[in-house]
Amino acid sequence: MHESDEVIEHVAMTLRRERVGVSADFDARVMERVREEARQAAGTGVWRWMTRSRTVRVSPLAGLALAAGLAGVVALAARQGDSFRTVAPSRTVAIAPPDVPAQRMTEFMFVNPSASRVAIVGDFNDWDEGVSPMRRMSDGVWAITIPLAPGRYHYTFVVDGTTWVADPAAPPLKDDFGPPNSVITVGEATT
Amino acid sequence: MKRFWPALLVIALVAGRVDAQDPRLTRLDRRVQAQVTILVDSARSLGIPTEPVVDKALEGAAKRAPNDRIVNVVRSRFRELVAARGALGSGALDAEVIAAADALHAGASAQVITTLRTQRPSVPLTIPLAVLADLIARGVPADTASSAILALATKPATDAEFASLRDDVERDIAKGVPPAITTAVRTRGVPPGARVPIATDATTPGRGTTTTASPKP
Repeated sequence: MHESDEVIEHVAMTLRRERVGVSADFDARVMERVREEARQAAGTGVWRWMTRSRTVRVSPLAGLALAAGLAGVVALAARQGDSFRTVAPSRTVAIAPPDVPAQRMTEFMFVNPSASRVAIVGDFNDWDEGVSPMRRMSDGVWAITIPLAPGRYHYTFVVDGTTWVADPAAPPLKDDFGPPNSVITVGEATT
Repeated sequence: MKRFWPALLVIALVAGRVDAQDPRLTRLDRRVQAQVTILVDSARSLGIPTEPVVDKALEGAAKRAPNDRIVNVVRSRFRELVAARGALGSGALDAEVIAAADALHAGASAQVITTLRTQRPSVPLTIPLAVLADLIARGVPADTASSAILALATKPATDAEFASLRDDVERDIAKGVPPAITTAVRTRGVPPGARVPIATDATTPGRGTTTTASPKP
């Protein structure tokens, strides 16, 4: 038996003979000391703080609020993306980057003295008759000038908001939806 | 907290999905809107222009076409754009893809588009393809129009010359000259009075084939 074993045996016998009292918080103090030593052994710092696991309690109401906030952020990000995606280069009137084809001012004219209003609709304005109302000139001539990038566009005139009329100055093009369209091809600008 | 993560993910995805839709498509019926959105997303993932898909749907809505008709036409437009991109190859301009899709819609073959690209690999084909579509739409048989465009491309012609061919043909048609004849004459310089190709399948304007007419006894 080693000397240390003898010492331990002696202590044990002493403890068995005489009951040693400990305070009620003895266990807690011991465990806190152990944790403190473990913390010191692992080091401190931001990384330690960030990687330490925590228990977070969230009420259902707070969870819903958090979800709504997250959805709002995602929706906002998607909207930002749309603002670039849905604007076609052909509709960009502002300064365009070098790789965007230059636009050409294209004039459309239509004769109808009895019309009270005429609009042009086509691939260049989302077929929305409110976007490009034509201007009444003399003798019942209606006109509008639209900047168009090189390409092929389908279009037609809308008279008084009800009647769709293909451009008489251009051959009609049979369309998938019934009323015929006209077509215009815009070429590259020549210098 | 762990219970909320799936719900958060679903809400985020749904919110992002709804907002990612083109706001112009709200003019469509909800069912049509969903179908068109799928096609637009597919077009985007394939790298083909999405505007023609949206434009065709909006045109249908503006003309108050039935929902099924709008969906079918937009699907057809999507397929033509995919085929046009395939015929032109990667790197094609959006305007070229749209013009090629128009040519396919009119009745041109994908082979002609590919040949045209091979002939002019580094020159924009927007105008030649647009003229091809225009000629066929005016009633010129598809193979006659294709031959005319390929002949001009071989020359090689400028965009102005392609446009000039179309203008000349339209003017001749307005005077009463058959579309196939004026196209052949304008392209090859066949002298007036000579025997020239005529359309034999006139059931669908612009989609017929061209053969040489046999002389009548």
